[in-house]
Amino acid sequence: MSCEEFIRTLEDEGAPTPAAAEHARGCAACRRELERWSAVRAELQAMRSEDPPPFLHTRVMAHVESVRSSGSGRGVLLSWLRPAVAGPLIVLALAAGLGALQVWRRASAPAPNATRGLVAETRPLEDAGPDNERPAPVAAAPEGVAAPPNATRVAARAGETRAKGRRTEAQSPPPGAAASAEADRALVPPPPVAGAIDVGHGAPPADEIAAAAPSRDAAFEEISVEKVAAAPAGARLAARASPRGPAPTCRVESEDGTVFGVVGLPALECPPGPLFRLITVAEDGAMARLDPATRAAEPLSPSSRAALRELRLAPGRYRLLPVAP
Amino acid sequence: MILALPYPCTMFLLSWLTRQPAADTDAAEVARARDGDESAFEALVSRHERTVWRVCRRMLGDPDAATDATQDAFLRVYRALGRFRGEATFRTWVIGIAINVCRNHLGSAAARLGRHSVPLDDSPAGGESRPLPLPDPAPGPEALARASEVREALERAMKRLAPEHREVIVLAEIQGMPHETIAAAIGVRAGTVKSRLSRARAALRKELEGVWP
Repeated sequence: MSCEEFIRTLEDEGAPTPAAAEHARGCAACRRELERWSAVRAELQAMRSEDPPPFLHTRVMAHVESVRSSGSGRGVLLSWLRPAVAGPLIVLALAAGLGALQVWRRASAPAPNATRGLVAETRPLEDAGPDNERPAPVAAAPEGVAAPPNATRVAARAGETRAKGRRTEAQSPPPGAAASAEADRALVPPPPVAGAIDVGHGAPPADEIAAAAPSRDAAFEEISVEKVAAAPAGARLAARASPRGPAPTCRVESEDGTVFGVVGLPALECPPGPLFRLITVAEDGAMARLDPATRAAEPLSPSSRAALRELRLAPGRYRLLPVAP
Repeated sequence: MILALPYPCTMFLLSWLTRQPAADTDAAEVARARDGDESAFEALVSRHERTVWRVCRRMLGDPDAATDATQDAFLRVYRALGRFRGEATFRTWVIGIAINVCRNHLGSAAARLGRHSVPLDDSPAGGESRPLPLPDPAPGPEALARASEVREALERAMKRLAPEHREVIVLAEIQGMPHETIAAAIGVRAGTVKSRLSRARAALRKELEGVWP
C-alpha cells in the first residue's frame, strides 16, 4: 500500500484497515498521520458529551405549547384534515373572508375621513413557519393619536386572534355564516359594558378596530390588559369587564420542582394541558410572565398578580402548572 | 457466542440489541402522541432533545442558535407527527428534521452574507481582522491548555466545512450513526453518505493542517 492509498483509506473508512495499519507500522509519516487523525476522532467523539442548557426542555415545550395554543400549530389531531378536507375548507374560508371584507368596505365607505389616516401593516406571527397563516392586516394608529409603545405587538396579537377566528370558522359549519356574523359584529360598536375601550373622538384608532373583534378567547383578554397598561396620554381607558370562565387551579413551583402553593389563575396565565408557563419575580416584587415564543417579559393580569402575591415568592423564575380542579 | 464474532460485528449486534427497546418505546409514544396525548409528545421530546441539541450545536456552531434550532425542530416534529410513517426510527426522523432546520438556519445566514458557504468561525473573512483575545495569564496545566487549543482548532475547522460535509461529520463521527441511518435522516443514498463522508474527512484534515499537532 502506498502512502496515498493509506490516506485515501483513512478518509474513506475513518479508521485504518488491517492493510493500512500494516503500512503505518513501516512508514513514519503515515504513522504520524494516523495518530493525528485518531486524536481528531477522539476529540470529535468527546464533543458528543456536551450538555445542552438546563432550560432546554422548558424552552422546547413552551415553544410548542405557544404555537399549539395559538391555533397555528396544526396539531397532530388535525393532520387527517390536510389531504382531503383542508383544500375545500381553505377555499370556503377565503370566500367567507372576501365576503366579510366586502361588507366591511361597504360599511366604511360613508365615512372616508374615518379611515384616511389608517395605514395597513402586517406582521408575521412570531415563530411562524412557512406553513403558518399570517395574521390579517391590522390598521395602524391614525395621525394625531399616539400609539402605545407596544401597539405593534398588540396589533400582531389581534391579528393572531382574528386569524384563529378564521380557522375556527373554517372547521365549523357553515363557515360563510360564521364569517358574516363576525363581520357584522365587527361593524357594531361594542356594547357599553363596564370599562369598554373608548379612545377619544373622530376616527376610531387602530387599537379600537383591533379590539372590535369579539372577545371570546384569551388572546383578546390579554390585549385589553396590555392596553390598560400602556394607555396613551389623554385616552380614556378602563378595564374591560372580563368574561373569563372559571379559573383553573394552578400549581406554582420553582424550576427545581419545589412547590410553593396552588392558586387560582385565569386560563391565559395557566392554560389547561400538560405544559407549564414561566413567570419571573423581580427583586422589587414585580411579576411578569415569559412569552414562550419570544421570551419577552409580559405583564401578568392583576388577578394573577394578586393571587401570586399571596405566595410571597422570592425573586426568581417559577413554573405555573395547571392541576385538575 | 457474540464475543466470538469480529469486533465490528459484535458492536453492531450490541448496538442493535440495545437500540431495539428504545425504538419500541418511541413507537408506542408516537402512537399516543398522534392520538393527541400531549404527555406522550413531551416524553418523546425529553428522550431526544439532547441528541437534537447536540446535532444542532455542531451544525450551527453556537449553543444559543442550537437551542433555537432545537425548538424549531420539535415544533416541526409536532406539526408533522401525523405524517410520520415509521419507515425510519423516530429518532432518525427527528434528526433529519433537525438537520433540515439547521440547513435553513445556515441558508438564511448565507443569504444574509451573500455567499453559499457560511463561515461560522469567529474570525471575519473579509480581511478585516478582529483583535485576538489575549492568552489567559492564569497558569494552568499544560495538558489542559493544549487540549483546549486542540478543541478550539477542531471547532474552527468544523465551522469552515461546507454544510453538507459538516452534517455527515456530525452524524457519523460525533453521533456515531451508521451510514444507512444517516442516509435515512438526510434523504440521500447510503453510497452518497459514504462518498460525502470521505470528502468531508479530507476537508477536515486539510482544515487542520498546520494547526493540529
